Amino acid sequence: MRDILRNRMGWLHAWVGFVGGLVLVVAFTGGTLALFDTEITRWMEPELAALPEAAMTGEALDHAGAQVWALREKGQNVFLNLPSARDPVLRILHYDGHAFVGPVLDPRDGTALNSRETRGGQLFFDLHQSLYRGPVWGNLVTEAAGIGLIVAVISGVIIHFRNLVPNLLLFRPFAAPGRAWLDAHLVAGVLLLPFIIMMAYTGAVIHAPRLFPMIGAGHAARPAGRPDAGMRVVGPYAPLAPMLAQAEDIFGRGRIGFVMFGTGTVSFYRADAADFAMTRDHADFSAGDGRLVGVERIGRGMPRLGGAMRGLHFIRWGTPALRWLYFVCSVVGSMMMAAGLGLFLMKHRRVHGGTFRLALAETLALAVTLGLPLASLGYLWGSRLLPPELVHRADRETGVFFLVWLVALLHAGMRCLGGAVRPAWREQACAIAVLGCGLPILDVVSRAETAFRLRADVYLAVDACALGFGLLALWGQRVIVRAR
Amino acid sequence: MIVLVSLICWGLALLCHGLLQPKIRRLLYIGSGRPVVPRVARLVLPLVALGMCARLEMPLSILVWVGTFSVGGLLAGGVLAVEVFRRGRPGRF
Repeated sequence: MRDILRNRMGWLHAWVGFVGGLVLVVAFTGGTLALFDTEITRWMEPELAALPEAAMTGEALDHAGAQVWALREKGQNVFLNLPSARDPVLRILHYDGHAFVGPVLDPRDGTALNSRETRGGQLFFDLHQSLYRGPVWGNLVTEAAGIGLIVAVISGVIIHFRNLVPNLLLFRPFAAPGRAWLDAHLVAGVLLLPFIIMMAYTGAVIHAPRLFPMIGAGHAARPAGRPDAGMRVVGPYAPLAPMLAQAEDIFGRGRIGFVMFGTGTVSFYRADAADFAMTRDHADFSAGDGRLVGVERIGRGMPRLGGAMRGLHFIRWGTPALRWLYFVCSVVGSMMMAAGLGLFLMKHRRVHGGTFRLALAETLALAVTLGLPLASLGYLWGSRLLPPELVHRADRETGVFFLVWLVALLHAGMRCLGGAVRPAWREQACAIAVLGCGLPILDVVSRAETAFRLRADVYLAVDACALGFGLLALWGQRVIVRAR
Repeated sequence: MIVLVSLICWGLALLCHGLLQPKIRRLLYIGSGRPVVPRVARLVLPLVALGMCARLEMPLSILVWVGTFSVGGLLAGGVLAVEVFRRGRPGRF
């Protein structure tokens, strides 16, 4: 009876794991990089490296507010993002359908800093939550894959239940390839079980309103250029600095994240980093005379529970150490899923070797496992190689990402259909090694005036991670060569 | 610092757990005894880690404790794999 259950769960785990895994590797890898989306955005804006660390002044805030009002009078739906420890500049942002983008302002005086146009790390956030396919189909696919992850986890635990504790650390990388990959999949899967269950569950709960649209409120962000009805208002406007001081008296010093501008009102929203429960508490002021007109706090109960789920998933309140813990767990989680894809292919090579169906499966697995990291590195390279003043630069940068990914897919397809599966994996690993190990050099060359001030900042962190993944890929391709 | 201490405690606790498992003991040429120190350590060290993490705010403390379990386990698994290789038994899997 127990063996029948294990066999059936094995079938379920294999197929749900493979089909869902193709999406989940993309979503997990995107989510991993999105943990440091702000830092990646800053890396992709090297012009800001020379900016001295400075606190925001009242003059800068008022100047920025005037620019926001001017843009809103032209019908643009923009808001103001305040400086924070992770991103010490002012930003006038609008939603372009995929990311929040807009000009960067100096926190000392509110003047525009000529930084290049980019979607930065938010591309990975969009990839994580909707595969860059928008709030309807993209979200639907990732949510279905998220539920698939929960099914795969439960079935995996049932299959492995007897050996869950005794084999917790049994990893034999020098055994036969199938055994070694299975050990890696099991060890990582069991050790990361709390993390994976937490991320899958909170992700599913966060998107539950989209899975069940009858209780959902739809997509909150609206693209710029589609103003609210009656949004156009005309000044004069009260200065923002006194309003910020009042809002900080209510929510705490340094706990205001962004400022929204409505019809005759200005709302100061509490930062996502301010508390574990990610709520949208805000203080509203009259735009004309700066008078406090209301404070909205999310009370206890379901809304706060929803905020706690978002807080656990997005970890914007977390310390750098916790964010790095999430990052390591996410990287290993992505590798665990990729190992699962590899195991599925190894099993089916024995029976279906040489068929078109298997070659297609090999192609897709390779394109998500190595093609996506390759495209991510290509995106970072594109950010530094494309001219800063290029028209529609953010779109071109994103185009580089998808172009590299498409080339990786075509390469995988040609090689796998030609029967050269192992060389295909090795070549893409080599490409990752070249782009990853070369990224620190590109950073130094393209940021010459500030690159030699060695300090623990976002540039060093991104360069070190790229170098680490490059070296890992270099080691991986050597393993593939030795395994012939 | 608390994260590091918790990571070390979990790493050592899981290493002790691994050293008590018959399959790993066979791979490492260790006899079939049931040593007391690893058995006590695998019970006590996670509690020490929990005590350290409890000094952080909730829910940060729980997340750090669980997160360091995962990363500590990966490190312990890596150490055991290297040790098995170092003892020259890669062909006996």
